[in-house]
Amino acid sequence: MTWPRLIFRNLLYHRRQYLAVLAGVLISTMVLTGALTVGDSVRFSLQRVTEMRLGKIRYALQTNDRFFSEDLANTMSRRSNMPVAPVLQSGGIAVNSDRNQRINHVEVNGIDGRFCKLWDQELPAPGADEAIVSSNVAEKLNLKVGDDLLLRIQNLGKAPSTAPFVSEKLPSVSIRVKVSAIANDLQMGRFSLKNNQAAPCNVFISLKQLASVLHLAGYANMLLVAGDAGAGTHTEMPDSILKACWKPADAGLSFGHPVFGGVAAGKYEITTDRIFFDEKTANAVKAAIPGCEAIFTYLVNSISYKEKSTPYSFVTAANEPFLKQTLGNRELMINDWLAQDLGARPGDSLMLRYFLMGPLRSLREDSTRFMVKSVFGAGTGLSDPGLMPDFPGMSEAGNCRDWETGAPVNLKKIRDKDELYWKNFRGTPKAFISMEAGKQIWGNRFGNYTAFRFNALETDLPAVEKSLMQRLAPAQFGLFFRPVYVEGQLAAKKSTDFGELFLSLSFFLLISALLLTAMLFSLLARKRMAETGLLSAIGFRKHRILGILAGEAFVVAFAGAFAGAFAGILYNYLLILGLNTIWQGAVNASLLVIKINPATLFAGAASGVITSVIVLLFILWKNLRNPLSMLVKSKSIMPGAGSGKVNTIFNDVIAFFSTGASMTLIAWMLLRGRGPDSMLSLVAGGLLLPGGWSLLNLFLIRSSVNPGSLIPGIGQLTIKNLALYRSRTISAVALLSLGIFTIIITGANRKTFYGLETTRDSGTGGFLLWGESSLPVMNDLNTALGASAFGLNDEPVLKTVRYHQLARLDGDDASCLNLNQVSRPGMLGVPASLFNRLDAFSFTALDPSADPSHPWKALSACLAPDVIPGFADQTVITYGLQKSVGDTLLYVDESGKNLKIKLIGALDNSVFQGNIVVSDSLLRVFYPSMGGSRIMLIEAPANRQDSIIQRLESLFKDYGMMVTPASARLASFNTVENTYLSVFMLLGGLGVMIGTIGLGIVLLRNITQRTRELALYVALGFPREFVFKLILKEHLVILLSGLVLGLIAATPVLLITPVHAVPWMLISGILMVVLINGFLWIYFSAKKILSENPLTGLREE
Amino acid sequence: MLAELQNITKYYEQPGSGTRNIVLNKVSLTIGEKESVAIVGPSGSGKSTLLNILGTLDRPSAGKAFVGGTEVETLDDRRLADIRNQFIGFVFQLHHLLPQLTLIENILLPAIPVRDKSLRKITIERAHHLIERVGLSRQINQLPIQLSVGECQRAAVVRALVNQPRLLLADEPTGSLDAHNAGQLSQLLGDLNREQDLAVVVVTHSMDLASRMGKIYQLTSGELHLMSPL
Repeated sequence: MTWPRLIFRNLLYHRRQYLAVLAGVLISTMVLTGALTVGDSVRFSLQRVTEMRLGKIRYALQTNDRFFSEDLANTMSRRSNMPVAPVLQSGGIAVNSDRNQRINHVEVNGIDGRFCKLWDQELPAPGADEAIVSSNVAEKLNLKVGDDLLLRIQNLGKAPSTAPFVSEKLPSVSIRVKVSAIANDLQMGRFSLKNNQAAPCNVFISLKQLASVLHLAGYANMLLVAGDAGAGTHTEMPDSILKACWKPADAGLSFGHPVFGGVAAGKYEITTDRIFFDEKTANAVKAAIPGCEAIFTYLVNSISYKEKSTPYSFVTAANEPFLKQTLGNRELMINDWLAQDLGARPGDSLMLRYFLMGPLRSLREDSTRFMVKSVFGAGTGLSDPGLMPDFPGMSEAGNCRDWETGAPVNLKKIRDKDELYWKNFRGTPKAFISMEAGKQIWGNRFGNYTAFRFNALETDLPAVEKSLMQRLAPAQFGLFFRPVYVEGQLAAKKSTDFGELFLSLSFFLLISALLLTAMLFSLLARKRMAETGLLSAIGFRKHRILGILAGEAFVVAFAGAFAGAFAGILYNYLLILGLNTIWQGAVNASLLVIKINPATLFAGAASGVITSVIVLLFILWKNLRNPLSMLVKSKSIMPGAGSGKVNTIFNDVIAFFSTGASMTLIAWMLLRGRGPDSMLSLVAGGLLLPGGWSLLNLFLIRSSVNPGSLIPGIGQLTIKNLALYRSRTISAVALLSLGIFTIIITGANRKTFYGLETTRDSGTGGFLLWGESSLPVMNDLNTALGASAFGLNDEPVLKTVRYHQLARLDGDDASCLNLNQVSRPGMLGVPASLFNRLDAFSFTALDPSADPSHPWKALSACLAPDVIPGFADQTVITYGLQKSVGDTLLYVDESGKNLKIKLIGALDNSVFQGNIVVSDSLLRVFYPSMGGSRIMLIEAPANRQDSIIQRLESLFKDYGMMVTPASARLASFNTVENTYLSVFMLLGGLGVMIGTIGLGIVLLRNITQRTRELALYVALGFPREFVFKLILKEHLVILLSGLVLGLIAATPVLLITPVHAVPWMLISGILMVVLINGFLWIYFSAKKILSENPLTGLREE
Repeated sequence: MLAELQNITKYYEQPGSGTRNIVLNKVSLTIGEKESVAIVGPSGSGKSTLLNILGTLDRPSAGKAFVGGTEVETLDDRRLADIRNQFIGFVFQLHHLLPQLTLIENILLPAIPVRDKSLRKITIERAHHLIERVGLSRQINQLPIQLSVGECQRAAVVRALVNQPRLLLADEPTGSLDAHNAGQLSQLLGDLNREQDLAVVVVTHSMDLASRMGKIYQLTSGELHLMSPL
């Protein structure tokens, strides 16, 4: 006989018990491995989504509202030998008018053959009036190839829509196209630069057609660079090629002779299609062309002298040498036409009235008084219509009455002579002021220059262009590449760790499986105590005996873990199936695929071996810690053991303190009348658990020493028996009640509302509605002008409604609906002062720099020239960004400079989830071109909610407006958390069920230890039914005590949870399954025991 | 005739081999009123099996067993339980007192299945009388762990007698006791046989105990032989 042989024989002999232990190890390893494999599967699926989103694309440049020549793609491609594709992208609304179905937010992508080549499964590029739609668009709109599709596309323009005197364009242009193909996920259907697993709604039309309808022929706002699988790490390469290839037109700059070259002969002029030069570009021009003449032309509403007034005139700010004389800060030169019109002479004081433009095209009229220094005539060279910038909507107008200035024009003021001036001299400025004065009174966030002129005769134009382009960085025009593929892979890699998540969600299941393993092994170890004693008696040392048993345990643990690792694949399959179907709310997609990573399987198996071996060795230690001589003797059990005075006092203290504290808390909550408090209710309920266990313990201690009736009945015997095995009884009750409590609390803890969602400190900030449009709303809806533009004043139901329009910088969705880790979430510019005044929303954490009583105040102050403060939801900071309060996020502002957002506060579960919240005014400083608003918070009477929603959606139909109750938006974020809680409940329920199997094991163990007692009953003439009932009762008491105690403890939380918010069906279902499962285990175990020969228990041989 | 075994054979199938291990081979035995019988024999000779068949805890493979004039084979489990409860008292090598019950509760355990209240009252009185008889009055409310082995075994005897059975079956009742306690218990069983209108059958290795019985049977190789009185 050798050690291995002895171990083998022992395993063989105790194979049934060891198979049960192996099953326990298998379950725990399965749970571990399965959970870890879910993490692999989710990560792999997200990486797969990145592949689907990007095809062969490795770098992308996206400028949104800035446009560059689409030819840049060809130049770059030739230089780099890499496929480069231009795309013109705009938002839009897709309508299947045949079926009256619409999607309010689609991405309309203008593409050509270059884009189609970026995908492994290439589709032919759409021709004129054709569209390729992604499969989800086809599904939602019931489209098939050949069907008609109406597209309402956001109107884009080169000039910022909110810049002064840029005419207000139609918000959208419509085209009707025919579906030429439906792109699946592996074609271009999922194309998106955003790190998000949710499928975008894509429509692809011809680049030429889209550019044409948007009046952007030859332009694009997106460049995509393809590469092989290894490419995509560094952006230096495409950025440097871009720098070498780009031209002034790509920066929106034009070189040319002034419009009226005859007047300004010998001059070159640089203008920008954004009308105003930003400071950085202006400085570069000045540096590249020393001595160039800066020009800043502005439209004034009137120039008045005494009672006379000339309406709508252009006035130019410039300096010497352009003006050929120096003007003081409040001096102006006027042309002879104006002098004659006003009857003004040098020395007279003229009043200039002009509009200043604020956010959302809001206008404020201001005025400044200037003194006439001189009057100039037509021959001076200053009478130049080319000084008027190319304002879209004005330059091409035939007469003043056709002007589209983006500001109100009082047509009554326009006289015939004004029309004649326009006809003859167009926008020739009637007056000049100094550049300093111009900047001072008209300076705006878009820039302070409208043109630069320089001498053509003395300048080498190509050299000037080259010099200028060298001084400009493409990034300052938004032209920079992002390694989108690498970013996507990284975002997927660092995504929400589902392995960790499901390990936590399966925690109760895991613990139950380990306890089951422990119970089974303990049962076996106890059964073999005599054998252990025998080995000792024949000379085995204790460590040898331990070695034999540990050897057996190792074999079982290894076998169980090995099998469990493979069973983990099945568990993973079931979890992924759940996530793709019933738990889809947690992942916001149904694209998860299974990925089995051998390393994870190994890790799972190793963890299974380690945890099981630890548990098994602990059980061995527990059973073998007594002197071996004791092991051969049967121990007598002392009822009430462990119920010494100290223990009893300790137990009493716990019983009365916990129960008393719980009752006090409940009473306090009821009396203070401040509504439900979930945390206090949870604490009150939680305290009832130890209180209940201690009370039960106390009851059993008392029962064990209480003589009771001389002839005990079955009830008394039941209690006495439970008291005898008190620790086992309490453990089983504790396990069950804790499991039940956890399941119910989890169910009741699903995020819901208590009717308080309209309060200012709630996640809605007290705002009733959340509006989100596909196309930007350019006007301030609270002004008469804005309201009339949309007919809001004509609707009685909207009379008292207030709109708080928020500026939004597009970015990745950082809400819990996005599984990827996000580095640049979208930014929302909010009215911080309004929120401060309303004391709106609540915070879970604040930076020390923020005043806790006025946290919104801190949002308005710039922390450094390139650092602004920001808030975000706690969940966004923790999970979406994986950062904390005090950390900084890096962005690139509109001028290409780095902008840091320091997170100075964490909001408590708000409607802003997914975004970084910054001050509206600060956001516009760094992103001046940001035009219009797609998001608004709406204050309105709650009793008219439905009719307000209906009217607003109808009035803003062409903008794709969706209005939802703010509380419903909050609820949508809660879906994810609630789904996790459902998963936890279900897996917890499985855990409790395994716990009831454990109860069956306890029963078997009890009965095994009590065979003599049971045999005695039989010998004493007790009917077997009596013994069966006794066993049944004892264990039903444990089962029911666990259930009832769990229910009682959960009651405080259930009471404050709205009835509709509790998943009663699920909870009842789980409780019923636990009850039935427990009963069946008890019933059949008791039956089995009684079917065996009771005499064995009475034999001593 | 309190109990009778007619040509009782008991065998166990050998697992796997198909052969039978015959424990009792056509054994016949008659136990009369107030009779006292000792069955002796080597270990494994089937003494306990014989006693269990006599006590209706086990069933024979062949032959007939009668208790109180009724053939055991004809009785269902419930009736057999009644017989064990009312007609037979058991004493085992170990006392098998329930650790969770006090001495008096243990002794009155067989009274639980008794439904008749007046009978229960009588049982309690008898229990106190017997406790006093065996000298355990002061330990009445003590738990088994607080008693000596001898006291426990005496309590087990009282438990066996509490329902006033007519047949007391004792399986190695002195097997776990020291000489002094064994002597006391042997004396007690003999006395009870005389005092309580009780037939006693003991299975024992102890010749001291056996010698206190009226008849001694030797069980060897499954066959029972009456030995001449010592």
